[in-house]
Amino acid sequence: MKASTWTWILCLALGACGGEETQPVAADPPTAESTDPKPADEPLPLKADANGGGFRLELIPSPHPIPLNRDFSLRFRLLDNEGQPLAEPLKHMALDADMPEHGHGMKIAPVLEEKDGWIHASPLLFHMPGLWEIYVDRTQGHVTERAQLSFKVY
Amino acid sequence: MPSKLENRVARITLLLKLLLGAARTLVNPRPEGTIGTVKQPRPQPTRLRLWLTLLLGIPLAIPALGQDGEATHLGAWLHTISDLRGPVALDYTEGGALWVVEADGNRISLFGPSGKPSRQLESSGPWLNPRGVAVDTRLYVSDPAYRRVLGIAVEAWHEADTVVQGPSGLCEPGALDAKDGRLVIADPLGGRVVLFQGSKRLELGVGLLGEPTGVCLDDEGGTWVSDAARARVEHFDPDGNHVGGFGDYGAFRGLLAAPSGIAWWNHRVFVADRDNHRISVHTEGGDLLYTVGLHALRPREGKGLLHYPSAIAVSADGTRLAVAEPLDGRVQVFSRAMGAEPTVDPLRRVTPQASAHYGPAIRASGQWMLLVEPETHSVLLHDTRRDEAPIELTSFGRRGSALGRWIQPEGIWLDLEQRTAWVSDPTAGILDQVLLRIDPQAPLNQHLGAAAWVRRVNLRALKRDLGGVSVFHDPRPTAICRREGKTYVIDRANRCVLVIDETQTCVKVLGAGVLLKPIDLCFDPKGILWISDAWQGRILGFDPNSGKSRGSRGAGALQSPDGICCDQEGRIFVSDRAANRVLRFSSLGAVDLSIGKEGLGPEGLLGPRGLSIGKDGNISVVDHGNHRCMVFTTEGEFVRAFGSKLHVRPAMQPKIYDEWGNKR
Amino acid sequence: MRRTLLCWLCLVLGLLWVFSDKKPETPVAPVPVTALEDPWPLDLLRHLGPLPPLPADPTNSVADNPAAAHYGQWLFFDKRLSGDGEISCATCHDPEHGFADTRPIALGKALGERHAPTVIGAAYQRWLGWGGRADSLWMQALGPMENEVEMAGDRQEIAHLVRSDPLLRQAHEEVYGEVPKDVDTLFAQLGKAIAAYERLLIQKDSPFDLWVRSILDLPGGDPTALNEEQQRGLRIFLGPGRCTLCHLGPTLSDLEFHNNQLPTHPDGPRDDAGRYQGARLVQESPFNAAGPYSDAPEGEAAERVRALVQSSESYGEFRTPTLRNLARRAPYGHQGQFPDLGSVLRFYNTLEDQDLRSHHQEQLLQPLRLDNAALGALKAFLLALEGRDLPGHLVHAPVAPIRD
Repeated sequence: MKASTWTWILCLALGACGGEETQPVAADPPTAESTDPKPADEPLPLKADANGGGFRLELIPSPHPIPLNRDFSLRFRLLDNEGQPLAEPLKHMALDADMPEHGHGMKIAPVLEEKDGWIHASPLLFHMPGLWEIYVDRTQGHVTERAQLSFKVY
Repeated sequence: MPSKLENRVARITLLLKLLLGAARTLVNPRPEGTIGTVKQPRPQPTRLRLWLTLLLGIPLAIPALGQDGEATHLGAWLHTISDLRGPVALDYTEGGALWVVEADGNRISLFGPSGKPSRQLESSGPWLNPRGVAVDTRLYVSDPAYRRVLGIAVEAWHEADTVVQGPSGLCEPGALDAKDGRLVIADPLGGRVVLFQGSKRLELGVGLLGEPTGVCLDDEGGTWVSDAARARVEHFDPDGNHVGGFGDYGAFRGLLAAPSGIAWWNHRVFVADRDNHRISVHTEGGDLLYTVGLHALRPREGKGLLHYPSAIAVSADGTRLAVAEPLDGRVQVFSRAMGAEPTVDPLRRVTPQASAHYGPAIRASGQWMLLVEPETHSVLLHDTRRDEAPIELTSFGRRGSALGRWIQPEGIWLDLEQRTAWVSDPTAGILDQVLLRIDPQAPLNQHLGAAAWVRRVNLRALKRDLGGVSVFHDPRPTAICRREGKTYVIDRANRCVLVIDETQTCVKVLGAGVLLKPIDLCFDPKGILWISDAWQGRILGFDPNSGKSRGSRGAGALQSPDGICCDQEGRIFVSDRAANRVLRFSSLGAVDLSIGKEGLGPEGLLGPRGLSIGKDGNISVVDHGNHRCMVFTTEGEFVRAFGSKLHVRPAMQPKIYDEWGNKR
Repeated sequence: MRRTLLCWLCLVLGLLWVFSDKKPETPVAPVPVTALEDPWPLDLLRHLGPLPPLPADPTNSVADNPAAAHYGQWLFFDKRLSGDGEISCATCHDPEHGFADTRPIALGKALGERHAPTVIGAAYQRWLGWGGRADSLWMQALGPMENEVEMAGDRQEIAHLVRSDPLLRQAHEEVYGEVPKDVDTLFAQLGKAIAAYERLLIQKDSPFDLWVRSILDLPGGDPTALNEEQQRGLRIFLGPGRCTLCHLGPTLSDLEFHNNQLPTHPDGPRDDAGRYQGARLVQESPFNAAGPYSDAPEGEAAERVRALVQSSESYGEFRTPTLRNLARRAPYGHQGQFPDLGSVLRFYNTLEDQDLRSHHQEQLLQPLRLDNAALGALKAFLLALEGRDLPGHLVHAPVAPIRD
């Protein structure tokens, strides 16, 4: 009787500790804290300060809100901290976009063109749903600074 | 006294082992006396198997014997030359002997065709720290500490001719090749290759090459260069013009990751694909022919498995391929094989996170810790508030050259209060400041995309005018330290420390002319800046304001000082990479503790690099060769290890796993 | 005695289970029936359906020309375009089989490297081919004609055929006015005619389309078009299946490229550069949307192909396939490595056969670990994407290249 009771317990005990470590099913990752993606009804132009505070960015995507997986374009300009437009040559500017949660960016590289005081960038394509960030980088001398805007695209 | 339950479990386990062993014996016969062991020696072929092999093998071998020599693969592992001290360069003589440069041993050794050592040129030679070797009519040795290449006649090797010297000539000569009176020198920190022929001197690849790690000459006088930063192989004609190249970055077959060595034989280009842990063999047009070697996953695995192959050489008759693996202190030699190249054994499933590849640098600030992960070109932020292994909060950066990407991040600095990280990329010559948008008090979670780049300082754009000092080479910023709003960053190319203020201007240069190979730096509580210098074998102190020297420590005790950090009591900890240990210097400057020794156990280290003291007062050491980080108390007691599972187990579970990672 | 025997039997079974290799699947609770009454995510559904009207193709001036479509239909089935006269487009893109291939790896002149994907609905794609080697239907039609393992033809010989065959000549002149002297222009024009035909191969009004119309209050809807199981499958598709990360869009494809570390077929190459090779091919080709043979070299498609980024990050990436009209075109996958839908779902459910080449590969996928009921519902939904059959006259060679 005692032997078989122990054997039952053994069965249960061994059964309980079987199997490989199961990988936890990851929940969808939360977005970065204080990301503030722009809501769809945010009035244009969209505004952001440079991450280091050196200038301000005004950006108008076309169409707005940015569509999912359809080519779009945008125009932007930089302002100083008093709100006056900065006359920065095009070769000192760069624009890019990324999906920070996925670790990849766009499959195409937009071409920048200066027109009427704004810099036009086209084409852009946000091909996957989720959080996208647009970066505008400005180089002055040996220092490059960045302003960015986040978008939730669905 | 084991309980009845434990007894029963033990009995059942033994029974199962016996049953499994019996089953294995039926399927795969082994020598007697080994039933039930977990680790089995290679079985000796029985007579029956020998006869079967002969009977079946001869008809199969006859067509193979008749094969054209060109069609053979160089891929059958032949033997290993072990116990080398940091083998970083190789070259074959005409007769098939192999010269090996042992950088950590400060010597150059010659091995016969069977792998037996035949002579050694020891450190009392004219070089300080040999880095490359090439054999032609003479033996050429690169001596990067003095920015020169020496040419010596082997019999009279104490007297050397200098081939090129001077700070503006070469920055840090590395790999070499010599053939038919031509000598070609790779200068990774200078971003170019220099070709000498008679009195002619040509610079190849200026403005093109990122980090030329390997060079070789072909039979037509052309030069082939492996460029680790751009993941490419470039081809130059005898006049130095760039005529072609191939390669792109990645882990798939045909792609390269940090190609570090190159050899040419019979219109085949052999590339040591370092971060892919294999040798890939291409046509001159770049088409992949085959690969040699598989990624060694278990610690110290060899016999055809490779671990960061960094230099290669092919013998003159094309029957031998030698591969140097500095981290494992060995050179593996391969001979010709017929037939299929190594394929992945389906039982060796490559799983994600199989191996943590932490880079040289580590920085702690409060409960946060920053680590470089060089093979993904990213930086990892961890939280250490829990007693177990640190939890990764976010990672940022990937490969590229635009802002937000790096060619290879190397130096880092972390400031928890400002929630900011600084990262340097020596190949691009830049220093980045990144904001980490995470609340340190928030509950532990993964924060993808938390990094926001603030600015990038391009030191190259300063056009070699640093703090009013004119320098010869484009700056290569590596280790970073910050204090009172200023950034102190080591410039490996100009062998100094740049002091950059809040306006991103370089206001001062420290240690120029005194430092040889500065690796890491830290401040002590008195405000003295201590810099570890690998080639001088000591740490040097400077006053950051006046630039004056404040003494040095560790001469004679340190072999290859690497990471450095200081605790609040003024005790300085220095990792000695070549000696596989960490030394502690008291506040008075004497060595009063040695932590670690070569191995994998709780005291084991292999090529320890960066160090940092965390919030809990413990030191975290990047145990680079062992793919893990080791945490010790300031008294040297082992606390924990984290990183690659295979390498962490022997430290965390020494009762189950032995010093070499095998189950006891 | 019996009790002891029973104990030992249970022990043995327990031990067998403990030491077996099969990982127990952790089932997620099946979507409860009450969830069917939750409101549908209308924004997400609008992305999936109903199937919109065919997008215009400005790079092809005859894209919607009926005469060109008829001519193109003839060419699609004409074996004389191949080198040995034995192979036409329809050989691999079999109309009986959803205009795809029964063979996992396509066999034209010689064994190829990938599965021939469906032509039905291909007009909605942005890039054609598993690696995206073409950016328009007409450009895609040209590649296989000259590829030595596909049709092994030659454009000079094809041009000669068109010039010398009176019926073909007449058909060509009806569409384009004249047969051009330049071989490349003629070649491109043949592709454009074939593309005009392929644009007609659309299977509309699947049960899902009808159901979505009613949910979105559009005319022509049918709320009963999807049964309970199919609706449950749709909920899984939109939710825990995480399918919409890539299968989002009216063709249930994001039209872009991903590397999911799929296992390879034994007959196919283990290494296939995929988009890495395709992006280079499409950008270099003179027949792309920005080239001299395009009818809109400054248009959106041209801008896109010029802006394409070449990066080794796209090595091994393949186009997200459309999920419409799956029923007749098994096997699935870029090498036809999945013989049926069940095997595709099983792969994404457990990721057991994932072919990870290096431990540094990006991994967006997580095993779904859905139970069998959920997988069945998902499969039921996927089969509800089957549109109405094509008109009979479109699925075989026409009598002549010219319309009566």
